[in-house]
Amino acid sequence: SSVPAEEVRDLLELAGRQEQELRALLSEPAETAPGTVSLRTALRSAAFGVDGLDVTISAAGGLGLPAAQVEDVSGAVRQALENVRRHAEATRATVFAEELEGELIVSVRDDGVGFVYDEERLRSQGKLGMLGSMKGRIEGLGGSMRVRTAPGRGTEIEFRLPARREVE
Amino acid sequence: MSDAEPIRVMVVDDHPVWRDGIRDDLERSGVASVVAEAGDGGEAIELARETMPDVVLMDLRLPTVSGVDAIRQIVEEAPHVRVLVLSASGEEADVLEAVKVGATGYLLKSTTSAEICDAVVRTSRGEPVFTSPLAGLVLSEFRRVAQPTAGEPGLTPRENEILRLVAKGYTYREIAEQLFISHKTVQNHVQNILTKLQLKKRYELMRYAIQRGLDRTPD
Repeated sequence: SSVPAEEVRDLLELAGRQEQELRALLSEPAETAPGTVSLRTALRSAAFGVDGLDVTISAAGGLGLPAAQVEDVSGAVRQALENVRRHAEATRATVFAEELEGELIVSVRDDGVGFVYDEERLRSQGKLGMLGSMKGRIEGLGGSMRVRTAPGRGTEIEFRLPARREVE
Repeated sequence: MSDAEPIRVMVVDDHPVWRDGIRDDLERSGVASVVAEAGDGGEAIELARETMPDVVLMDLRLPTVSGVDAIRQIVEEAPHVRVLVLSASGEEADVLEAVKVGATGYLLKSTTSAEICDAVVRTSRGEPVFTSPLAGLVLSEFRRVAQPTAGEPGLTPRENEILRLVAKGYTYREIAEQLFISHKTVQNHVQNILTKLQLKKRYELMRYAIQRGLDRTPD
């Protein structure tokens, strides 16, 4: 039995996109200092495997940081994207990262349904879930997390962390 | 000139199949007609001269003359021509160069045909079509220079704020709502940012030239 034409087209499109993404990862210029890893490259990999969601990575620079910190941040972003995929009913998400005055600022913005974020109420109802665990994790790293959302207005989750420049 | 006249577009890409697809999409939309097609940078410059399109849709990876050089030439000869760059992801440094030499905006090639048509319409009106990754790149560009030359443009706090919001993925409409300003004001700010970026490019070239001059040993 033959594969329906539409499916073939979708597969080709997916393959084409994956090829573009792979090429982007491969041709990443070596702009990070020795001993550091590019956060931007790591975020691109994180965005790569999110099914059904169109994720854009936007970074103010290559953002070379110690590997351990890049891992921490990528992990938090992966969690945030998973949250978007599961609950937001979004078509698009943008991950933005910058380093400003010694602080690393990363945000995940989606164009989904948004919600009423009442942290205390959600926590007391045991409904804080993934957002709660992300917040705990970021705070454990010496940072802070802020959620900006409203019904019908999409959601933005912003992490701030002290940018660790020293290489162990 | 009536609004009903289709936008005259030149498509520049070295893949004929892709050009066919884009031409079909644009003409089917009814808002644009393709007046010329070019397969390389040299052809693009010549045909732009001959046909004077309103909008040039251009891929940066071209044989003979590069997309960036072609844009520089086309915009120099006909400043009213708007260039919309179509790029595969990962070519961001080239895209930034293109914007610096006068491109109005940039879109990823993987964008839907509806969005490409919409972008062509917006580009023809001079509205900058600006994606989040490009905004992020422009941000880092303005932050990169520690000691700007006197008179070299920097971003105002408002411009910096707007650029950050674009980089974060907000639409102009959402930004206008958040900042309690009009959609048109947001567009104007973005346009100013791009103009400053082009000015910045000239300062960079000037600095480079001055450095070369100082380094030159006397005969």
